Amino acid sequence: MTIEKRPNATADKTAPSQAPQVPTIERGGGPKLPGPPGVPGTERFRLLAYVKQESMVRVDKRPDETVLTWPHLLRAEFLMASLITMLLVITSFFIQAPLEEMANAGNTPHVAKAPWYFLGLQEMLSYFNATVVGVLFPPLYFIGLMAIAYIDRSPYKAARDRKLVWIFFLCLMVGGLLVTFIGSFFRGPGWNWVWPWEGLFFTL
Amino acid sequence: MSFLVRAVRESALWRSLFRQPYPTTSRTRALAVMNNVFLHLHPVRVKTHAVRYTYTFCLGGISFFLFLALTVTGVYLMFFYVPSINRAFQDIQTISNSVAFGDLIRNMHRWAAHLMVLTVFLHMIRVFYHGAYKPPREFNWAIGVLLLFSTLWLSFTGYLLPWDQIAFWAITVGTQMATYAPLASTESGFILLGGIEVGQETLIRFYVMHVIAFPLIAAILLVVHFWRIRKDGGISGPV
Ligand code: HEM
Repeated sequence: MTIEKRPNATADKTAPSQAPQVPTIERGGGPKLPGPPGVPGTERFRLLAYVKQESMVRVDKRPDETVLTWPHLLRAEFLMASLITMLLVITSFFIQAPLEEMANAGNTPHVAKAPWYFLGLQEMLSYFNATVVGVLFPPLYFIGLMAIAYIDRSPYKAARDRKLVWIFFLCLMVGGLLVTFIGSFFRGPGWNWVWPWEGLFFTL
Repeated sequence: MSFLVRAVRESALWRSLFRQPYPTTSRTRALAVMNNVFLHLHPVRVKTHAVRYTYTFCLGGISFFLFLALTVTGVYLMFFYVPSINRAFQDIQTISNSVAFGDLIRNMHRWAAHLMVLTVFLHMIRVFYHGAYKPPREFNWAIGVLLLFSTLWLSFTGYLLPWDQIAFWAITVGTQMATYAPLASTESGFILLGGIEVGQETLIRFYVMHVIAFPLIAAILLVVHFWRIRKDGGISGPV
């Protein structure tokens, strides 16, 4: 049995008659990199692929300054993971997670509060029509956030070039923070206004 | 001593685990990242500014680490918790009082959960600030918003599980918001709670969402999120 030798572009330069019918790369165009000294015909060439911006796959690739993932990125990750672990263990050692008495549907507390990240929503429920805020607002919030990326098409990234979207996002965040704060620390029995120093009605 | 080290390093076991010596050159460091299934989430090289702490403030990474920590502590808590309205509260007390490291693990799970909600929000703000949602990263921003929702929902469903007064009334108030919908009110409330008020059906629904459905959804979204970071050309910037 004979093993058929496949034509190979680089393997057998001495037999041009058997050279494969593949398009050859024009030599001399690109930058020449020196091969082993004194061996003519062994220059290596670097091939670059390029992706047109209009194509399906868009990439954001410009020549960058880079560092090796090992050790630079991994070191940072290890450090942060260790720090967060320490923080968690120490916090959990000293601060007890809350637990009240067993759930009792018949024993309504003076004020029932949602978890803190929903207190902004609960606060707004006390201002507006419940249907609008309770039902329409949450989906709109998430859809609106997603839509930002598709509505704001300007390529600029500095704040001064994106004033409108900045103000919009700032309002969303600061507004959210404000109502969450009020709901968390300024609301007491019956959802009435209470100053934090008059009593805290907040559990984590 | 060095004989022992050599014996270990040359053993079949060691060499089956590690295919190369400790990476000290550019070549072996590149290979170390490529050859390890976990490390190869990363590219071999990253942009210099991307590893600066002040570019990302590590917020996405911290969120992910908290997700992992919550998975580990959560699995431990699951050994001792039964989602029944007659047992759940006592199980939490038992975890706190008599399970080895139970109290510490429960506290860690709770504080990590709150912290994760916070870091995910801050991560989103950092991404916005850098305009990192702009093409080609719009889709990853959308995935991120879904991750934000998943994080909130994981936290919210977990909040009911201790079955104490805080849990019961927080979820009662929280789910009432959904029942304000005209027409759909009974249905949407019923779907969420499994009944007209928070009860056993609610507890099992929230439990299943908390320990399996949403961790899975979040994990899948995270896979896509990380994949997209690389396909979009790595971290955005520099600014
Ligand atoms: C469970 C929650 C999330 C996790 C674990 C997570 C994880 C990460 C990680 C590790 C990165 C790499 C860069 C960095 O650390 O900042 C990243 C980047 C990114 N994340 Fe998230 N993320 C989460 C939620 C979100 C949310 C809520 C958004 C936005 C709404 C978002 C949008 C993005 C975008 C657009 C990038 C690319 C940023 C850039 O290129 O500068 N992610 N995410």
